[in-house]
Amino acid sequence: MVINETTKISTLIKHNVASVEAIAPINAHFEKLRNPVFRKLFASRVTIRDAAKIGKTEVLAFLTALEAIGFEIETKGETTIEYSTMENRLVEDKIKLGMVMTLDVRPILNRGNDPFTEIMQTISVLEEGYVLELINTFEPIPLLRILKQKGYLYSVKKTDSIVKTYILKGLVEKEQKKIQLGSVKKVSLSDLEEQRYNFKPPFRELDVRSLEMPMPMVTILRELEDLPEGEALFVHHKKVPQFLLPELEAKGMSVLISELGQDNVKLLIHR
Amino acid sequence: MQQIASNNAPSPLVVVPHFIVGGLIWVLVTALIVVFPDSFTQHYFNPQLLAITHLLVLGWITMVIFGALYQLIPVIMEVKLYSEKLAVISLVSLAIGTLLLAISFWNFWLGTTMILAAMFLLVSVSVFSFNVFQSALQSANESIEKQFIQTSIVWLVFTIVAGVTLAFNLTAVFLATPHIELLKLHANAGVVGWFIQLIIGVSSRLVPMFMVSHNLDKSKLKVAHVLINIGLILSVLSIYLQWKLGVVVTAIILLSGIGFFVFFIIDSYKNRIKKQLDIGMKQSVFSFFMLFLGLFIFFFLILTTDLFESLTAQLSIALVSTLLIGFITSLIMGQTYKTLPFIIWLHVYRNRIGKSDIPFPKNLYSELISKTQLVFFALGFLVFFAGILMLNEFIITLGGVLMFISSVLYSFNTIKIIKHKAKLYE
Repeated sequence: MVINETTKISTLIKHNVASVEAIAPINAHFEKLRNPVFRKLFASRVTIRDAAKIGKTEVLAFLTALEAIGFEIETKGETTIEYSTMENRLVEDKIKLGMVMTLDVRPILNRGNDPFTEIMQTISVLEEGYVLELINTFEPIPLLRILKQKGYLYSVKKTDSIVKTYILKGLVEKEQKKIQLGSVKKVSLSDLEEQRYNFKPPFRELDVRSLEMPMPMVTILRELEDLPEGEALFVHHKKVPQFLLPELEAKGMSVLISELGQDNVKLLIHR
Repeated sequence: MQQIASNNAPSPLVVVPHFIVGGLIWVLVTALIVVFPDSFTQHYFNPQLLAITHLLVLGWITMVIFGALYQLIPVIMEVKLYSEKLAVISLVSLAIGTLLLAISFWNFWLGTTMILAAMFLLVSVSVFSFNVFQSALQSANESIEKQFIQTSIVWLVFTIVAGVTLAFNLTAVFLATPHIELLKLHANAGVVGWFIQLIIGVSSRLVPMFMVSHNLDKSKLKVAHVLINIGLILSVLSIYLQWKLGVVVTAIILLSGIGFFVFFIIDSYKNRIKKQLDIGMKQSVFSFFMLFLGLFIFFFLILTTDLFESLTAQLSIALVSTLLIGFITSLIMGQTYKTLPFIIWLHVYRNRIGKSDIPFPKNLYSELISKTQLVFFALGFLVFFAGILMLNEFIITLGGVLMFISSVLYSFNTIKIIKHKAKLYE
């Protein structure tokens, strides 16, 4: 049988029961595979790569051990999961706000039980926008894969003996948008004026009320092309520009809108 | 501080097909005028004219209105369209229902085909109304334009339900009022309640926008809204009960309501900043002259004749043709040049606007073709109109040919706009 780093442990065992004995000596973590209950719980969810990560060993060590008992090895470049800074930033924000709940699964593991159900239950009762801090002895790769499929954001922090995984529940799209894209808000004129002078001079101003469409949009976008960071553009418009807003948001611009009345809308656009 | 949604624009894939299907049906209508001019010289209750009229009002006018409204809801109500899926359902069922209806009228099949057509149309209209009202519910904006659109849809539903009732009344008469009179009720609700009200709602936002006119007095529109809806309710009652004086009174109420809207448009025209009108606006201006012509015929009819006995069938056909083709069709064609190029332009160039030197929406169609199209249309309609009044089939055919050429040119330009590929000027 040809195997590679994505082959599941259960597949190995199914193919050759001797796999258990081949893997077990690699690391103390895998001694547990000798326990049939544990094996049943983990083996079907974990690939060789995951197992190597859990046991903090090289994938190669696994493959070599398995090659010894007759498996053929298909070699492939190793891929690692990377966490973007965006996820870390989001999680940090939440922790600062105290929107966090902790679950230590080490006692469950020590009793020889699978913490998976308990973790999922905890996530399901967690309020949207909150973070679950999961304390474990290894990085819960199979769990993270499931969460990733569900669109959750997470970040992992490792210290000597414990691994803390932070899982952000729900609102993923919205949270991501907040970071990557600009926002559009309606405000009062005084708020808008106040905000305006928080930006750097020169205070750029544009009046598009006498232009025929699509010139208001073209003129505004042209003006924004060379708008430096920290400066804002103040626009006099006749209406809330429905077709311009998505373009601004896609450029990562934020817009404050103040509607003063018929044919009189003020916009403050900034990066 | 209130976070607001920014991406309200619907996908062009939802909006654009309405223009394609509508344009093709308009070509079909003009072709039918050319081939069957006698439909316009008989009494208006004839199978062919019923088929042609319904292709015109449902397949072309209502079709384009649906598409345009899906695009304009964000502009007028400042919300996202409730559902794009429902918009596709309303489009497909409207197209199928209209074709089935036209086929059943043409052959005067009043059985299964007619019932099937009615079902498709009821589905289309219910889905459309639900979609627009759900969008309206999310909108905090209470502008007069929004109110016009909402009440126009109520009248659309009324018109369709009345139409279906009429279809059943044809097979087994169960209403006491004469069928021809009920037809007037149905037509009045459709033309004034649905089309004209919808047009007022949309154009009182678009016309000042395209002409760039500031600070117009919207109270005229509020008066128009009240008058038109009171007039419509009274007209339904008086036609149904055959109360002759009531009909005359409601006609005057309706005419004055429309008059207030016309004053608003004239106001906008006079106060415009943009003095030079482009081809789309020229055609729209022409359409308003045709509205005056229609109103004049209407006024003339009320003053000089008794609506029920001596209103000649020919004048009725002329009046309805003037409103549906002279005014509404012309306005739709003109406004297509203002809205469709913008939709495609935004879609094609969205990442380049303001950066590179790109074409403008008006560069997406051939101006020569649009001018030729307007000339052929204006001439064609006036010849056609004369042919109806003169009961002359040859003149009707001649007008039909000119309008057919115009409709083909229009469709050519529409497709040219839709197929536009990004062009960069160096």
